[in-house]
Amino acid sequence: MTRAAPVIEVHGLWTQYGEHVVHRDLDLSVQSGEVVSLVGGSGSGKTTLMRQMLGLESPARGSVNVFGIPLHGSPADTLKKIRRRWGVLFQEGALYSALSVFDNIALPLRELRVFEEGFIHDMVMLKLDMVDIERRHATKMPADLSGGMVKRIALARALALEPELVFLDEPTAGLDPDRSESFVRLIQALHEQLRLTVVMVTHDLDTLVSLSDRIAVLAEQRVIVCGSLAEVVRIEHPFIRNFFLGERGVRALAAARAELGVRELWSS
Amino acid sequence: MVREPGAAYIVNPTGVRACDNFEIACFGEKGEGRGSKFGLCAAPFRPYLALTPIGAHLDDNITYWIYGTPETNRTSDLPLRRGLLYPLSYRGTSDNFTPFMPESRPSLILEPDLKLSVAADGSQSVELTGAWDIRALESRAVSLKRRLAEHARASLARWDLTQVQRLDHAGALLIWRAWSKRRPQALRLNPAQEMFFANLAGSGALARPAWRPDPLAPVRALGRAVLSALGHFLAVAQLFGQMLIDSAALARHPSRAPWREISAAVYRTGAQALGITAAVGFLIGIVLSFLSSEQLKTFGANVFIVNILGIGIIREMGPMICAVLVAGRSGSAITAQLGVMRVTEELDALRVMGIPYTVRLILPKVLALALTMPLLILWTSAVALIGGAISAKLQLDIGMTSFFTALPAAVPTVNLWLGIGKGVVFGALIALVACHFGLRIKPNTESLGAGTTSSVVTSITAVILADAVFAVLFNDVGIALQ
Repeated sequence: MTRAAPVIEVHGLWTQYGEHVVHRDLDLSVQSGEVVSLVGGSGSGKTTLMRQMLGLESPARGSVNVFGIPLHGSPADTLKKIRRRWGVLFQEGALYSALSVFDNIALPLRELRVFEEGFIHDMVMLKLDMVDIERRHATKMPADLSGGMVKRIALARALALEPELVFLDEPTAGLDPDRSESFVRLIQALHEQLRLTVVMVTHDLDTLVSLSDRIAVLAEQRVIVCGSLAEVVRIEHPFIRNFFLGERGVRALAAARAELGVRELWSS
Repeated sequence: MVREPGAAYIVNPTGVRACDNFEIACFGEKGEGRGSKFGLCAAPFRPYLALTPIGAHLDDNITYWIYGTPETNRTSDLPLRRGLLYPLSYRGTSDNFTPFMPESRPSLILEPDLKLSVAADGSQSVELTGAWDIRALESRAVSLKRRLAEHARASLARWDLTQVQRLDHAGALLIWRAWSKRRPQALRLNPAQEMFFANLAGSGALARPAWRPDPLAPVRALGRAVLSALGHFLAVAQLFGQMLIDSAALARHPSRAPWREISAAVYRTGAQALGITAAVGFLIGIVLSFLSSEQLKTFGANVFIVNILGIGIIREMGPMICAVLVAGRSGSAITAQLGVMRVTEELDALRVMGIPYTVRLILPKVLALALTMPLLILWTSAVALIGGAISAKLQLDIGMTSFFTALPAAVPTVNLWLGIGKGVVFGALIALVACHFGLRIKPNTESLGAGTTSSVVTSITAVILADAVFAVLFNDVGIALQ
């Protein structure tokens, strides 16, 4: 209805490795400022879809546009600009193991070759504050950090260039419930503070319920539904039934019922 | 704020997001109205469907002005973002409410700028305008920093940031640093900008340990190097011993020996190395023969080419070429493989299953290399001799048949055994050194690279040292001219 261009638009996407089709004619769009979660069974191509959105894989057919620019076939200069406007949190953090925490976060800022070292230092400290990491950890190497800290620092690195769009691959996987909850709160707070658009792959129902504006369910090689939690659970599909309405799902939904009520109110 | 009849404004423009509650004021010809609280909604334009300002109607076909931000570039038409004005026309009724973008949308995002203005009462204020975000600063950081500093020095001025269209942490930090990390006494901020400076105010500095020159640094470094070399030597010996102890149990139960791993390692380090060793051996044979025959021709001692090549290649060159190639080829592979297994905790997994990795991983490699090296040496020496014979035929006109019939007489058989013996020792050494460095790799990429390099360098050095020991021990064996 509106002509507002989505931040991400995936249209008619096919991903294929030889005979193996991962995505068949997949469509998805992400609007500015919203948090979209990708869910699906193992091997349903969630992470591959995210890699497509990042331009790490190339589609067999179809197109992926980010900020309105096609990721394939655009000049390298344009793509470089896009890449500075997004931040990515990889599942294992993907911190550069040869660099200290400080240098990991400083790297994208130094790459711009604009800012002096004092500015970069302050910026890194600020980002560390934003993700709640004490500064005494700044000189440590990634190998000496716990999983939760690696995630936080990777998030700080992803936020280093003030991105408008952030990709999170399993943000809470491998964290204990307490840490994962505080990580979710952190992402929530940052999302509210910085007005980020967030695309997230997750298996964790609690994370899903508490963060997502919309949920895209991947099954049968495409997005079978993309909508609010209330809309998604109404769809009759074996995966959705098992995932959301299984024992775990019901528990997570019950916990979120109060919030869900509010959402339903607004969306109607 | 621009106020025009027939225009709608979001009253608190900064930080507006589709999902936020916000307030819209409409100043229409028929009066002024406010709508607010549009709540959580999926589409950014949804709020306006609900907007029915007092005194104005949606079907009045009026132009609404909406506070929002055009995206950093032309890629998005979403108007409802952080604080900038640009016009949008909404036409139609509430049922069919399509936002209409004027063709020539004025680009109102301004470049970051600052100026000193003097008010009527003589008070000065520094006004910042435009977009102060990282993408705007990227190309202008240096000049803006200089200008900010100039203005900051005249500290009496008040600072006005309310006209800044966009701000992020990078922009705020640039300004903050110009203020010497203190809030100026007179400062005007939008509420949404407050957050950035609040974040900055809480931020401090990282204490780095001071660097002191150490006059004894070279001595210390030397000492550390010697100790580390000793440590490596001991660790390799220990690894060898551990492997022997662990394999002793296998002697009683040969069926439990890792035969499959051994055979796989033999294939990988032996069969797959045949090509490269042959190619290198052949070329070295040709070159050696060519250079020697040039010299021998001068003395008319053509026939001695057989002795030179025979002793040189079988006793020395063959084993050395082979060892260098295998150290580079298989040694590095072993180090990298064990290193990655260590990083991925596969070694720990083996250990908790009660499978000693010395038996499962190291023994097969040491055995395989001790077995394949002598065979590879025979192969390399043979190919090198063929290369030498071809060159001798072309250079000195010594026929292939006479070359190979003269060979047994010129080279005592003990040299062949010496070559094979060297092979066993070199192979085991390369495998042990490679395993040793593989097991010491730390879980980071740099360590993997450094470990592989030191593995290859150390095993080649170790092989050359061992070769020297062989030369001293067997100095009177098999080289007497007959």
